[in-house]
Amino acid sequence: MANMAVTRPALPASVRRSILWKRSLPYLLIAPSLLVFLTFDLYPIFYSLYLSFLKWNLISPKKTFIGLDNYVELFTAEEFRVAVIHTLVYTAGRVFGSLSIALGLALLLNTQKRWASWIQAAIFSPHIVSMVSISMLWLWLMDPSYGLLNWLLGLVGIAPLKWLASSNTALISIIMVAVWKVIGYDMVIFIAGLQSIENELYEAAKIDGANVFQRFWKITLPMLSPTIFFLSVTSVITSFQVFDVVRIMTGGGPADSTNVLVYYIFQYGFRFFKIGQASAASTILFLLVLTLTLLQFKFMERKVHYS
Amino acid sequence: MKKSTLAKFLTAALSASLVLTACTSKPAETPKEPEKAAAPSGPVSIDFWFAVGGKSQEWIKAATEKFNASQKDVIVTSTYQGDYYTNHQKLSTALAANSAPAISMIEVASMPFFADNDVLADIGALSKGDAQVKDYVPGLMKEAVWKGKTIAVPFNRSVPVLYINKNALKDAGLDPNGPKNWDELRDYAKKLTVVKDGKVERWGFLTPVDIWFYEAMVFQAGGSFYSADMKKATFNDEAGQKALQFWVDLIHTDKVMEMPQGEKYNAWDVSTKAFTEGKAAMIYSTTGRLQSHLNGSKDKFEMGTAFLPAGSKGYATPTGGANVVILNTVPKEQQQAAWTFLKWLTNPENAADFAKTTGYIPVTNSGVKLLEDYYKQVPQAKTAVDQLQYAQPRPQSPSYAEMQETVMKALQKAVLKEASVKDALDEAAALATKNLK
Amino acid sequence: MNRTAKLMGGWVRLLLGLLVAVCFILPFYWMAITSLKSGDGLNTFPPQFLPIPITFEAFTEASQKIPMLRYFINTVIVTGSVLVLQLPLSSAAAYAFAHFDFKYKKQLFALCLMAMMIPAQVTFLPNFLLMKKLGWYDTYLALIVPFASSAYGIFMLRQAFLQVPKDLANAAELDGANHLQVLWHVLMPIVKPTLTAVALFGFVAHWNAYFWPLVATNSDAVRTLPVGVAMLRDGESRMSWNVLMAGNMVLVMPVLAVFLTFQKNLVRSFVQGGLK
Repeated sequence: MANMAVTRPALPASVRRSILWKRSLPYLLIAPSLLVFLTFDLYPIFYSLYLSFLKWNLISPKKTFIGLDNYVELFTAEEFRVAVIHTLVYTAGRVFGSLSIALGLALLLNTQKRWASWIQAAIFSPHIVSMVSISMLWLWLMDPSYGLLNWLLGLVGIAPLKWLASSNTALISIIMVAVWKVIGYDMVIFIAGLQSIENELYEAAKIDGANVFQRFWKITLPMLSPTIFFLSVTSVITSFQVFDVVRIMTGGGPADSTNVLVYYIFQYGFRFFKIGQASAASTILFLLVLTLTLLQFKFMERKVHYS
Repeated sequence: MKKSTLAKFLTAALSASLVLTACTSKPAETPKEPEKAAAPSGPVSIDFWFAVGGKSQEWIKAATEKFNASQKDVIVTSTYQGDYYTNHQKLSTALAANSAPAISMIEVASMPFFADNDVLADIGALSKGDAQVKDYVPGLMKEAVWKGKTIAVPFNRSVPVLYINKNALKDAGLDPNGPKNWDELRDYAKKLTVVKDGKVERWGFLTPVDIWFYEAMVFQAGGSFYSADMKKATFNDEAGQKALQFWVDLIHTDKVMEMPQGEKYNAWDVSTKAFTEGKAAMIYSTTGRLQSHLNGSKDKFEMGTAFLPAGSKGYATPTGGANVVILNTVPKEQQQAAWTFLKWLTNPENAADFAKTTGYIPVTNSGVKLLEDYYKQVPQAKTAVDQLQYAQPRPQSPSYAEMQETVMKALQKAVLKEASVKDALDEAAALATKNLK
Repeated sequence: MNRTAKLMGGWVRLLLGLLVAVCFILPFYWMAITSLKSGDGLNTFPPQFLPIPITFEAFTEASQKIPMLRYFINTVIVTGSVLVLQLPLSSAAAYAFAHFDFKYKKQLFALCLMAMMIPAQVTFLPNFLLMKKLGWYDTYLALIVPFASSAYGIFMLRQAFLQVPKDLANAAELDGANHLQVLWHVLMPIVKPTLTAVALFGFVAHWNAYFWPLVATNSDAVRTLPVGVAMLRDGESRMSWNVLMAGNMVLVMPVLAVFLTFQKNLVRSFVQGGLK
């Protein structure tokens, strides 16, 4: 740096300009994207934090500063506690369900055969379809009187289920739909992970006399652990944000049995117009997601160092 | 040096964003100006947001076109905004964004929220003592007045009625005019339920587990939603418990009713469908669905309507549906144009025609008179108008939306046996009371 | 013996695979045939697996209830504009992060990643108020500008750029090409599969977007298809499953068509994306 400062005056103007150009080029390349993120992602976080200290109903010009009251309100409200619990249950069911089945499917379909790629495509397809359509489709399939699902159950002699109509099965039904939608994505990532495992490892294990299950436990699972970790964390993060499926399929009911964190935020923001309380809940959601993401980065960094 | 580049960049980015903000913040106000300027000479354009589908939607679309063709001063654009819930959400966000329409539908129990925020124009002032304002049916004006001012015009107004499959009642040897009180309702429901091989083929009675019908039953049992001074929620007192216990008994003790699946209005559609397909012999629904039910039951069975059966304190009903309001956030001449349109929209001929097409209650007294012949042909339509004499106002609180949600949850919890009737209602009432403050 | 076992294993796999595939294809098939049935043909028992007679009345009815064509065009405009902005802007930023050393690089990259993990559900209220201030509420701008760049795209593309040997770019630079020329002529062709994947995912995400368009629009002139189709369910046709499924067919078909066209590329890009 000091060296450069000494030599700089000696450089002709054109070279100086070129250096300046080179120096600022990366910033210029990043600038538009950064501007977008700062304006529409980061600034709103802080604004939301500010809103969470207010009592305000969106329409009225009157905004009252009430400090931490909204947070106190949240932590004492049964409804919020219930919404958080449902979010956690949903997350656990959705992540565990999807990952375990997806891993099974990946093992089943990890072949170069043509038919396998078509089946993979079929399983992947719900991932790219709008949650609006998926929700409405499953609402129709789960119709207690005319739905295809109850008819299929009847074929194998099972009594019709109430699906979304009962508070015992509503959340599970929603988890089922969510798993159905994302499973193809998880499977594709698992297949990528499987394909990166060196075949020699298996050959060596075979020579040592390891059976299929031993090979799975001793080789496949450990070698896949980064993939599993990556998928768990990203799935947990997206699960925390579940909304569309709840809004369209159940509206949080029956009897609050599918009320989740984001639906809670939406209701308080846009139906009860308690902007402060909705923002306070947003802040909590954000902190949860932030913690998880940082955890993920810490882990990934460590992995990079060791490999 | 690198630092200074970054500093420069950040300054540039910041000033760029400021410029962007400055440039674009102006157009927010501009859209209104051309209209303002054009007002004295050309026609005034106004928006009308409505929140009813089906036959009502078709009628409103056609009426708007007719109005636009009939005169040159006002051009109305009517836009469908989804159901009541969605429309309220759209209206509030539009108000916050200064882009509200001149006219909007508002579901009657949600009136206080908007009135309390002082965004509704005073119809009394805009109409300048027009005679039509006095012609509106008094039973429907209880939710159109706030702090002494008329702030809305009733439009698609309804009451709940009992729909009856007369054939089913006759076959069971029951009075085809339907049950007169709760005990009879229960008795009828038992006799009308058909079970075959352990599967219910027809429910005796269905009702959406919805606050509106619950309100009716609380009133019938002599209860109220709030104390007179609006300080306390009172739906958890004896009357409220009796009303909810009635449903719980029908479902769990007698097994003659089920809770229709779905959130909010979905449950209404489920019961409508069950009724028209003969899978439920009697249902509670809104008179606004009269035409749908008549059409749906055509060639299948004879359909009748009756008052909601009386409780220990006799007949009672809340009114429902929506009013239309004029927003005071739009320029004065738009408000005036809005009144011109509303006056036309609810004039006796239109009020009668709309009621005839849909089943909603005609909103003016002269409109009711125009329908006398029609009521002779379709007596089912008259039930609603007659029942109006027992109407009680909806709970009037700016925090109604929350109370509604809280109560619906309590109803569902009790009906699904997740809590006792008393516990569910006590918990909900405590929350509702808190929200009043 | 071993060979027959292997052959058997192959068949069992195929059978199992087909069984699973049915679980994913049948619902979509059900959607398709429901949309081709008439209102009366819906509740037959046992269910009809062929729509006989085929009728398009559900599609007609759906387009009478909502201005389907208008919504479709809006969605095309919004999705197209987002991609036109997102791809170059994300590529540029990804290139900077991959091939330059500059001060605060790490922090700025972290900032971009932060953007990726901030849920729209956390920021929608402030963003709604911002739109109001900018005068963008209920305009295309509100649906396009906030998505002019994609943090996910930057992340994926940076990963792809990093896998290109540095020598390649350096060699080109020695030949006298400037940075932008290197980016355009040397790097972009190499990362094309990733770029395609980012484009496809952008397309899918914005074609399907529901939450923000729901909040940021209120007129038919800008409303997008997912919001419009969801509105079908607010009206009295919420139980007319054939009409609802018809609306959803219009929403789903373009996405599935694009997917079937790019299917292989998509899966390959994921593998290449460095998620191993």
